[in-house]
Amino acid sequence: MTEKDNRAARPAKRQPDLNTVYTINPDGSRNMLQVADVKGRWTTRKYFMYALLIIVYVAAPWVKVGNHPLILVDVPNRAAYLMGATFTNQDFHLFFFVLIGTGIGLFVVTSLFGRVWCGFACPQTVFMEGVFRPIERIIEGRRLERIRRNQKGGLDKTWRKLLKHGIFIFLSWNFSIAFMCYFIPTREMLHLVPFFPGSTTALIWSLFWTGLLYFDYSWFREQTCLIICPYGRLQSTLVDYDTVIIGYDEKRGEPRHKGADKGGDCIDCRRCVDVCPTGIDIRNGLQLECIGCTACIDACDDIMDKIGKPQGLVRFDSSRGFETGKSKLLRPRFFVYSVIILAMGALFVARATDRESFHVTVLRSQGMPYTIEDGVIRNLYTLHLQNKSDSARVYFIAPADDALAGHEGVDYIIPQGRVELDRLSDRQLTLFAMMSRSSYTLPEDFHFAVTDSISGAVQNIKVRFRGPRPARFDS
Amino acid sequence: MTENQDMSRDNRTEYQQDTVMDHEFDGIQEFDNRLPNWWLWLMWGSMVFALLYWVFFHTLGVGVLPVERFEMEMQVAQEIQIARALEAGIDNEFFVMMTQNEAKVAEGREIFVKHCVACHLDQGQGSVGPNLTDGYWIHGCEPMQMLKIINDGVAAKGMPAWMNQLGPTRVNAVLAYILTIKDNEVAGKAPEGEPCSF
Repeated sequence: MTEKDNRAARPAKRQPDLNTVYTINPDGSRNMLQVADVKGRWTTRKYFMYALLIIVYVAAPWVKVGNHPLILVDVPNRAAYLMGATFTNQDFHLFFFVLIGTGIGLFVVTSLFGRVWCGFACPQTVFMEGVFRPIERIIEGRRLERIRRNQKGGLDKTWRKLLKHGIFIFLSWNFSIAFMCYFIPTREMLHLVPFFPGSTTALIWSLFWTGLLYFDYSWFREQTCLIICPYGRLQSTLVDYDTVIIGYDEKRGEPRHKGADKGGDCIDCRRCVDVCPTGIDIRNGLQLECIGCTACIDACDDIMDKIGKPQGLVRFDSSRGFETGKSKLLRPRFFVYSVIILAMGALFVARATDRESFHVTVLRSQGMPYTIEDGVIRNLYTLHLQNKSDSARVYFIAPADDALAGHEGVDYIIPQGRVELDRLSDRQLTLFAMMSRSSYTLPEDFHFAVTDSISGAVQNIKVRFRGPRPARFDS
Repeated sequence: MTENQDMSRDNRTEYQQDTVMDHEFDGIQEFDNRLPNWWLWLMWGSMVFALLYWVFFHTLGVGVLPVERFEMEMQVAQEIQIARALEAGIDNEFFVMMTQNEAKVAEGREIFVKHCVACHLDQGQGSVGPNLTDGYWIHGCEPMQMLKIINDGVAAKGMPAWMNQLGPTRVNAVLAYILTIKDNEVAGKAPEGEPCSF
């Protein structure tokens, strides 16, 4: 029996192929998958991973390192905390390293092992496969049971659906609050839950995230990975011939055959298709939709055990491995990516640890370069001082040098020479510099020094003294 | 994987609409499958939203744009501030009474020496800042008007906003002190502003 005959024998039912997205029907409507249960060593490992990561993802904003959360992007207060370090909005450029570092980090992992991130660690997968799908399975039963009940309808279907969606909405609401803890300090969140009294903005955000999570996990599901996720859509450029992917050993499996006694090892039982959460047939080769979840590996290994063939007809291997039996893990692109990510990491650490504890800028007063009164030229400056450190500080401001000393009548007025600033707060200060008009020739630079009285750190800020052009240059 | 993408191996079925479009780039071809309905709804929805947004905010002007909303909120905040000051019993009379309180005036003098003398000099006769003792006032001579200048400053002239640094109690004290010296007529900087008596 050839492959064609085999298919003709079955009822005309749409099968996953390479030319269309199986989860989209030809009329554009959604083809909701009913994913079959799977058991096996990879599935067990995954559930351990999911349990661990759910704890990590939910607990991360609650764990304190030093005085601050492990991770918190405090949007209202314009500060971010990461592993005990504090970042203000002036440090936003460091976000570049974080983004590029994370991106390249994913590139490294992808070039070596394909989409392990997607299958094992991505929050989308972790909560979908670790929480929502198991609940659906418990309430609605196994794959065939679900399909039959969905077709039949009736009260039995209705109450199960209502219960499931009720639980989904409740969980989405909880996870939305857990997610918002990354942006609202947990001590404030404790006063806000569950109904966000007095903070309409937070309430609207929580409703928005609840709605989005519920929509995603109840209906949208794999569409996120297939169509929305940019990382997923970059796969074809990140993966090469030597990347370890989940694949089907065509040499061993073909020709497919009902019955284990003849032909290749694949008995065309379609278990690998039924368990796939993105609706592909892994036997068509590596596809954009594959999120590396390993369900087909476990499904196939189980079948191979039953028919007395060795496991690994579907397995982790490189394209080269499937064709030649030999794999090559370390390749030039691995080293290139590694060098980039190490450089980014080093730069980030260097920049993050070498940050100034306070920031000073001086601006000339707007619209008034200088004023002249009683033969004295006066320059007015506005100094912006920001305490970027994590504790209250006292700063002293004074002229730093004798750059103007050669002139007559030089004087400085610093009304607020001693400034107390709370952590992460800032202030505008006023400074004057003066000089006799008769003594002025050309614009000259001098410095103000700002001293942090606790750390002793000094920053010298260059400013320019300006005045009218002396008569003798006018000729 | 490229080797596997041999057309002859596809499981084509009657459900498929795949018509290959008639362009090709480096051997890469494109199918003309229908877009997902949710995608199309998103697109049409965005267009309708954009249209409604435009009409609502820019054609009819019914909606409040962010800048207007910000200004409205600032207005509200200002009104709250004034209401609080009135609630706390702060008005011109309050400061006149405060000048009778010697301890407060002394405290005000201390703060004045520390922060104000750089520009207004020791007797308040003025150098960079105006003379505070000549009976002429640039921004009004009522205590509440003076309070506003001390609190918010006059950025263009170099008068700092002191509210942030000193807080209301010390600002009140320093204003009480200034009210006690305002008619001392100390010779100093030439008068600026309007003659005025409160």
